[in-house]
Amino acid sequence: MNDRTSDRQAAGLDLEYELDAPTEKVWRAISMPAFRERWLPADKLADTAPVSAIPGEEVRYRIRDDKPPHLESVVTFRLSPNDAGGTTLRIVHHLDDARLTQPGPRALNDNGCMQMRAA
Amino acid sequence: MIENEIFKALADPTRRSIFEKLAGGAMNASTLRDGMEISQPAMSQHLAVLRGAGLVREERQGRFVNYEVDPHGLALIAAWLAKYRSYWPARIDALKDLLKDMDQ
Repeated sequence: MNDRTSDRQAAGLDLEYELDAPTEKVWRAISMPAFRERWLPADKLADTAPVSAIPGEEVRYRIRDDKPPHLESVVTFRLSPNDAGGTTLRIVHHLDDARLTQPGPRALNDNGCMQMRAA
Repeated sequence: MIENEIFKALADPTRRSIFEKLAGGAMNASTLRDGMEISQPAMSQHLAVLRGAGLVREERQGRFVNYEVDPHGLALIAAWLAKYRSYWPARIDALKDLLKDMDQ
């Protein structure tokens, strides 16, 4: 908890969206390159190959920001069926750039305030 | 709250591009103006807003003042968060359009 490094690594976004499509279909949209390209273009990704994938449930990509200093991060898309027959898509996007894990002159002392949630 | 200050400071496209230039390396105000259609007083004003939000700091070296982004600081992280907080909703809109186009 008091480790600055892990505090910095934890800076990120945790978002949730309800989609009006079955999980199996959303899975194809987020994991098949030809579909993924239409809403998440390859130029945003550090690597078009996923960091990891659990078929039908979860896929993770590495993202490299297109603007200096090109911070690197990892985004996780997690799918689960919702009550309406659609899909809940959770997006967890965390900075994990090696440069941010070095000790800096400023402390990121309240991780809670850097975490943003959206319903 | 500092995060709101940062969000407001970067909502202006000119300030966002000044910040991005400085994120690539420290510069003085006149080098910073190269390639930008912006007067010197306007640049000073933008830099003052960025400094006020804690995004940019100045470092005096004799007669010269350099502006820089703290490479390990909160500012860089907060600017990144502000960018992706509006990035994902736009991506999800595109995903929803794709889902409508796809066959079951």
